[in-house]
Amino acid sequence: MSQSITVKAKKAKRNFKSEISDQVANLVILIFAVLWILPIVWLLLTSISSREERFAIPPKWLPSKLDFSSYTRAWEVFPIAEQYLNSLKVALISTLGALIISSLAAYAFARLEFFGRDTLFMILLAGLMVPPQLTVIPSFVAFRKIGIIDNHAALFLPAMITPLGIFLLRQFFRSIPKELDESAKIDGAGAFRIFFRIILPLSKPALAALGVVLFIASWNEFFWPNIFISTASKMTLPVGIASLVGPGGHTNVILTFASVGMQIVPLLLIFLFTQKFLIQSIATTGIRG
Amino acid sequence: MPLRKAKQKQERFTPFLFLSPAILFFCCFILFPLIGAFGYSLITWDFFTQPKFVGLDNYGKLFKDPIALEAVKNTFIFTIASIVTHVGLGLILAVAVNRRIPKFFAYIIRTVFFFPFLLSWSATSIIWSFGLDPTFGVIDFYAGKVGFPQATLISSTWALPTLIMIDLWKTLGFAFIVILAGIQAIPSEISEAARVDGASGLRLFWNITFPLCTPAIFFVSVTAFIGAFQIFEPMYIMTRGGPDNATLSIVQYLHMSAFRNFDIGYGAVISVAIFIVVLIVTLTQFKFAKRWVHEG
Repeated sequence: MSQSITVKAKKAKRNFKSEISDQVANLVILIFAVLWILPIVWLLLTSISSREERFAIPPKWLPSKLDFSSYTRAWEVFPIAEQYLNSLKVALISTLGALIISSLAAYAFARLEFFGRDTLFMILLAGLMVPPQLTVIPSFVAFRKIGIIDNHAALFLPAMITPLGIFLLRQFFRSIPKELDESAKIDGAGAFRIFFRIILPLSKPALAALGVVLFIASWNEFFWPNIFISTASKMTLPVGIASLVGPGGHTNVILTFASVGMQIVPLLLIFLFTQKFLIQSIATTGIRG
Repeated sequence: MPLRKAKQKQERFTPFLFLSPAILFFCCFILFPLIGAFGYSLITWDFFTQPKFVGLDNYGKLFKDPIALEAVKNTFIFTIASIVTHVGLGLILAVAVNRRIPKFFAYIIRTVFFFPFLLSWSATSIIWSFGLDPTFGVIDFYAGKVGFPQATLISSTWALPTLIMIDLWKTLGFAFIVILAGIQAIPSEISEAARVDGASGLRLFWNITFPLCTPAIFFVSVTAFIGAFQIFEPMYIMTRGGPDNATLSIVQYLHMSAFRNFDIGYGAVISVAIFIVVLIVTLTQFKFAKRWVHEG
């Protein structure tokens, strides 16, 4: 009897203790989270502060009045609108192209029988190990020869082949019950009909996840477009914006703040509404961008 | 029966129709450039004059180049630090979020730690190089207040650690969600059973959670390695590899050699070296993924 009471008391004590440590842990994470996001908050708040308050020392966090003039100025001075459209165009074409090419190939690997199938699949998959840093020099020479330097084709054409995309879609297609195509086959459907009518519609979640990840990767890409595009009005957003800072000093700090703000705010809004889908897509595809 | 034969022939052709775009693009943008890179590594060329065959001279030059050594050292430090910090903090965060916490709280944490991962390196670099600016940067200001080093991006001692920290800020979200997904995939019966047996806190973590999410941790380590080993943007945008090559990375040195100094052959040699390292790491991953790691 007394023993069970002490056990109970011990248990209650432990619960109380773990409750406290839970709350402490939550507080620590919360402080950490606030510190983590502060640089972005500072940038956004500074970009809408008035001239006097912008870089006050000590820093003034909340502007006493809102001033959006840096945004209108940045919009006029930098080719931001054009660069937005360039990024959008390149990301859309890259993503669509990659989805089409990968899903066609993935279907052949998942469902069709032909000589050398597995060998060919392994060869394509090995392309995963070839980094853009290796292909960039020969591609530059070749693209110069055919005249697509400083042209968006130099960005989206190479992005259309993604071994990882073929691999992931093949996995997904193989998880679709084979009976579905068998019965369509009996009804006289050919490979293309089965692909377009059965496999593709059933694969919408996988295509969406892969698509969004490829889109983000293209949207943020820097290494490749920085080398292949030199005209400001043809640059994608990341390349255009990066030319505004450097270790030797920055060109017009506040306008750069506004430019980055224009890049961040739409992204933040999209993220807040699609968070679950985005995070799931990245976790399942495992693409680090 | 000519009709049947025609149909058979058509069917034999079908896989090729599905595969031809992938094969075409694979050859144009992966296979031929791969072969080309090895070819270019054997010549000296500046894009304009006549290329000259020099055999393995460029490779010999790489081994005697003190700047290349510096770049390898920096990249090595960056990579090790990146793996350790990503896995460590990612694991802590994932475990922290995987408790019974209010839904809204979990949402905030996911948003805060994951959002920087969606930013481009350009936006990240601008935020940080302004935040750390010695004249107006808010982070630099508070760092001085609490006695941390200031003007770190222009200090040859602190620039590389600063870039490591910025990379952690930007990329931690990836490690976090992958490890969290790994933890959440652990069947709840296992951890419940362990709890019934009296395991809790650290013991539960070391005996159940950690061993069962090693596939996720392994995956995060490999991607962190490959990502860090190819790091380029933060150095290129924030420090240009300086001060005094203190933050020069291998990929940046490749970019400099090929597209600034127009030494194509030497650039190609560096790119081949990068390729070989990535190849070894990825093959090791394939080989050991099954043996080392518990697969649930």
